[in-house]
Amino acid sequence: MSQAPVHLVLTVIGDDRPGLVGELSAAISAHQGNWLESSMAQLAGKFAGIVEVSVGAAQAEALGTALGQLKGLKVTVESATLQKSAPAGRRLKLALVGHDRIGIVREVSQVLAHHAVNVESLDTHTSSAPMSAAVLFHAMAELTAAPELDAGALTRELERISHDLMVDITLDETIRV
Amino acid sequence: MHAEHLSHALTELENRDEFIGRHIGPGEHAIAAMLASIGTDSLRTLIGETVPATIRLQRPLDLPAAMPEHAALAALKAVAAKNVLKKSLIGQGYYGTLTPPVILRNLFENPGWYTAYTPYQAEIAQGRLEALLNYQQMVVDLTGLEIANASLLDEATAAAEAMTMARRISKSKGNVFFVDEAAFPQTIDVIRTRAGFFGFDLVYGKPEEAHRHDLFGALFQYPNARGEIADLTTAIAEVKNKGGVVAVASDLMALVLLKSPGEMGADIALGSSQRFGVPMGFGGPHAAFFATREAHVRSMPGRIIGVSKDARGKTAYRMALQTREQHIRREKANSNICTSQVLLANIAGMYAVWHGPKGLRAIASRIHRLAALLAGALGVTGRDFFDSFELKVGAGETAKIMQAAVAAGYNLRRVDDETVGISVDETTTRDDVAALLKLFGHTGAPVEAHDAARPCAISVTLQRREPILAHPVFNTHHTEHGMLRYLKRLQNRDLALDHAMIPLGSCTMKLNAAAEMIPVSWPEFAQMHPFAPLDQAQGYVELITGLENQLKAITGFDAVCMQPNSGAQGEYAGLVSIRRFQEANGQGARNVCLIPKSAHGTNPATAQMCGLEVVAVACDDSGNVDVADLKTKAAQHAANLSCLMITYPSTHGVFEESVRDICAIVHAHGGQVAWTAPTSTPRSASAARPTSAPTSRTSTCTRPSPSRTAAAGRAWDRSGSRAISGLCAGLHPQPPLAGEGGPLPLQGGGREGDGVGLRRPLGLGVHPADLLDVHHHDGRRRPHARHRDRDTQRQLRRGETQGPLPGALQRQPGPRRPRVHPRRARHQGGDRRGRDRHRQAPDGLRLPRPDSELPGGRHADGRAHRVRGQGRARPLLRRDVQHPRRDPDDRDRRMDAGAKPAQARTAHRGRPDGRMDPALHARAGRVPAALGGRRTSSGRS
Repeated sequence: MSQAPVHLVLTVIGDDRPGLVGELSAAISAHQGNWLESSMAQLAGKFAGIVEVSVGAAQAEALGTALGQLKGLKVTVESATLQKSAPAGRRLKLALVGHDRIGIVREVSQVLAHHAVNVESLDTHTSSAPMSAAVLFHAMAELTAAPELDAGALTRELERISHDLMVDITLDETIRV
Repeated sequence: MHAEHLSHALTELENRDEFIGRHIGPGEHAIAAMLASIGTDSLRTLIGETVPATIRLQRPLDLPAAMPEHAALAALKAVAAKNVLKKSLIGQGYYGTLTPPVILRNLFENPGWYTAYTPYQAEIAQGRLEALLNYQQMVVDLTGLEIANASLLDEATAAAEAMTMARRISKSKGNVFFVDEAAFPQTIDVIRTRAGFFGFDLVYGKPEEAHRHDLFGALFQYPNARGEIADLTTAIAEVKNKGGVVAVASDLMALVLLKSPGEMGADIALGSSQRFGVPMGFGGPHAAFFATREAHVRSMPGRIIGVSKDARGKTAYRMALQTREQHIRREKANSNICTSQVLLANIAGMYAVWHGPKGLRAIASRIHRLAALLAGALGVTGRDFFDSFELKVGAGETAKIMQAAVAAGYNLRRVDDETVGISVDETTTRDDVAALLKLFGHTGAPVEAHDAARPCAISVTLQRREPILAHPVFNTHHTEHGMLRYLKRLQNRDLALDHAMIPLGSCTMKLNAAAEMIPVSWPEFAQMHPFAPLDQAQGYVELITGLENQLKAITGFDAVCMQPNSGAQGEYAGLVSIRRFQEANGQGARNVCLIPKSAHGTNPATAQMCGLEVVAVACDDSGNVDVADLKTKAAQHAANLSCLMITYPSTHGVFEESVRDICAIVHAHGGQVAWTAPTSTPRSASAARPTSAPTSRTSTCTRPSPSRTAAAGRAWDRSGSRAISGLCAGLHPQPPLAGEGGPLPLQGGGREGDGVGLRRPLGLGVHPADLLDVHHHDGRRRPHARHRDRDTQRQLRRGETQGPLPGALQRQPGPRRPRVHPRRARHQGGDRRGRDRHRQAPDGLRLPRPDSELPGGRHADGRAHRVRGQGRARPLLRRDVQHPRRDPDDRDRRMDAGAKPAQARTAHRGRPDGRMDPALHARAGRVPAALGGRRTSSGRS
C-alpha cells in the first residue's frame, strides 16, 4: 500500500437496538478500514464500546466524517498511541464480593492506585444476596502490576475497606482456566 | 346429634388415626376452600396435577400402621427399657453432665427456643442472637483467642474444618498436616476422610515432633485422649516458625482451670461444648466451639453473630460476615456448613450464665479433685491430667476389671489388654470414687482421708492465671427466678413457630409434636455414652435399624446412613460414597460434578470438598434444569463425569417433569446421581419416590430432616440421613460403632440425632399429610402458598386465584364504623377530623392497646391520653424531650466537652474571706449610701 495505515481508536455509545454493530462495521469497511480489536457491552439500555481500527491515511478523515453521521451512535475518534510491548509485569485476577455501599468502587480503585496496579478490565454488578436479600457488590478485575507487588499486602488493604469484603486474588502463576 | 357417637363402631371410637388430624392443621372446610381457590376439586386431582405422572408411586408405602400418641410413647418406652444405663466413665469427648433443671425446662423443652429458625431476619431473633453471643463470649474467654463462631456440628468435623482453614491461611508450601497421635480416635477418622479428598498428607506423632515435617498445619489435643496435659507453647512456636498454623482441640471444662490455647500461641481452638449441660444422647447432637484470631476471621467457617446498630442507632445483634458463607461463595466457600447447633450452643452458653465463673471453677475443681484422689489412691503418679487417666491393671486383666466394673454399675474405657482408662465427670460423686476404689481392691482409707492432702495433678505452670467470664451476664442470673426471667425475656424477643408460621422455606414447614419431644429427655436415651458397650444400647440399636428400614421403604434405596449431622453433611456423605464406588471400580479419575445453576450454595461447596470440579448446568427462568445444556455438558465431560447433584423438587419448588431423562443422561455417560431432597420430602416422598424415578442404578439421596432431630431450632440442627442404593451400600460412611473395618466415618459421634430423632410411624398408604403438604406448598407444581396479596414479583405462578378465602380463614373487612371521641365529639361534629385522629388498625388486625393506657381513657403517667403532637403515629417522647431546656450559652455541649461549670454571679460567689460586703450589711431603716442614702451622723435613728 502506498499509504501507511493509521490506527484509530473509536469509542461508541448509543441507545441499544439491533443493528448497531452492523452499521458501525459497514461504515468502517466502506472506507476500507480494518476492524482490529474491540470490546463492547450493553448496560442499562445503552450500548457502548471501544474499537481499534486501522485505515489508510487518506481514508481516515472520510471515515471520521462518516462515523459522525451515524444515526443513534455517538462516536469519538482518537489516534492510537503506539503500544510499547507490555512491560513484564504480573497479571492478576481480582474478585471481590461484599455488601454494597456508596464508595466501594472509589475505595477499591484508591487501594489499587496506591499499589501502582493497572486496571486492564473491570466488571462490576450488584445482586440480591441469597437468604438475606441484602444487596451484594461483585467485582471482577484483570490487573497488571509491577513484579515487586506484594499480593498479600494488597489483599490485606483491600480487606480493610470493608469488614465483610471477601477478596480473591489469583496470580499469574496459579491461573485456573 | 350428641348421641351420634353412640352408634359408631368400636374401631372408630378407638380413633387410632387421631394424630393425623392433630398434626395436619386445616380441617375439611379449610381444605375445601383452599382447593376451590386454586381451582381443583380434590386432593387426588391436585397430586395428579403436581407430581409428574412418570414418577408417581402407584402403590402405598410399606410402613407400619398408625398409632395414637400414648401408644407410640408406650412403644418407645419399651424400646428405651432395652437401654441399660450405667455410669459411663469413658470420656473421649463425651462426659456426663448435670443439666440445670431451669435450663432443661425453659430452654431445651421450651418450644419458644426449639422451634426457632435461622436468624436471617435479625429483628425477630434478638433473643437467641444474644444467647449465641453469650456462647461466643464464653468460648473466647475460655480459649484465650479473639473471635468465636456460633458453633459447628461436632468436634471431629470442627477439627477437619480447622485443617482446611489451616491450608487457606498458611503461607507454607508444605503438604503435610500433622495430627497428634493422642487425638480422639473419632477426630482422627474424620480428618483422614477429609484429607484424602483434599490430597493432604497426614503425619501422626507427638506434638514436640511436629516441626520436623514440612507442614502447613498441626492439630494438638489438650488434654489428649490419654488424659494427659502438657505445655504446648514450645511445640506451637516451633510449628509457627515453619509457617504452620496450629489448631488445639480442647475441652471447655478443662479450660476453666488450665492455661488457655490462646496463651500458648495457638491460632485455632476447637472442641465440643457437650459437657456444659448438654446430655450425651448416644453421641449427639452437640455443639462444637471454634475460635481463632481476628486476623483469620475471613477464613473461619460457620456462622458468626455480631453486634451492630439498628435503624434507630441502638445496639442490636445480627449475623455478621455472611459473605464468607457457602450461599454466597458457593464453590469458593470455606466449608459447606450451612447451619449451627444453636439449641445445644444455647444450652451450653446458659450453663455458663447459670454457674458463672465461680460455679464453673468449683465444678471443674471438684472433677479434678475426685480424679486426683482416685488416681493417687490407685498409684497413678508422675503426670499431669485434668479428669482422665490411664491405669495399668496387669497383663490380660482388662476384661475382668471391665466386667467387674459393669457389674458394679460403671463403664470404664478399654485401652488395651493391660490398661484401662477412667474419666471423671460432673456427675461423679465421692460414693462413685469409693466404689471404684473397692473395685480395684483398695478398701483402706475412706475418701476424706485421701482428700486431706488436697491432691492436685496440674502443675502450677499449666494452671490458668487469667480470669474468665468477667462480663456481667455471667455474674447476674444465678437465682432460679433470675434465670427463668432472663430466658423468658430473651424468648419474648423472638418469633418462633410457636408464635406464627414462618413462610421462608421448607425447613420452616415442620413442627414437631410434643409427643415426639418427650422421649428426648428420658434418661435412657439422653444419658447413653456413644462408646458404651453395644449390649447396653440395644434400645438404640432397635430404634436406629427401625428408622433405617422405614427410610428404605420410603426412598426405595438399599442402605441408609444415619450419621450425617445436617443436610450439607448428608450431601458430603453421598458424594463420598459415589467417589469411593467409582474408585473401587477403577474410575477414580472421574472428577467432574454437574450442578444446576439454581442449586443451593452447599452443593458446589460440598463438591469442591470432595475434590470435584464444578460445572454449572443452565436453568430456565423457572429454575428447571435445561436438559439440552445438560446433554451437551454431560457429553463434553463424559470421560470425567463423576456425578450430577440434583435437588428435587428444585430450589424453586418445582417437580420437574424431565427428571427421569436427566438421570438417564447422566447414567449414560457413566456418572451417578446425587439426589438432594428438601425437608418436605418424607411427606411428598410417599407420592413420588426418588427411585421410582430415576434409577435402576446407583444413586444417593439425602434429605435434611428437622422433623427428625426434634429438639433443635429447625434448620439449625438437622439430621441429614443418606439413603444409598445397593452398589454403594458397602462403601457409605459408618461410625466405628457399626463394626470393625468399616469405611471411614464422617462424623465424630454415634448416629447424629438419634438421641433426639424419633420418628412416629406414618399411616398406611398415602399419608394425608403428604398430600396436604403438596397442597400447602401449592398446586401447579410449585410448593409455595399462593395468596392474592403476595408480592407479584416473587410469585412464580401464572394466573389469578379466585378471590379471597372464605371468612373462616380471614377476617373480612367489616363496615367502617365512624370512631367518635367522647370528649371531642361535640366540637368535631361527632366525627374525627382533626390532626389527632386515632390511627385505624389495618384491615383485619387489632393493634394492641398500649401498656400505659388505663381504663376510663386515663393515662398511666397522669397526663392526657392523647397529647398534642403525640399518638400512636409517632413515638412517645418524654415531656422534657418535647420541650428541651433553653441553653443560649450552649452549656450542655460545653459541659460534655469537659468545661467546668460556669461560676455563679458575683454576688452569689461570695468573697474570699467569707464575709459580706459591708455595703450590704443591713442598716435598720437606713438606705445605703450607694443607693443614694445620706450618712447619718448620729448613728442609729
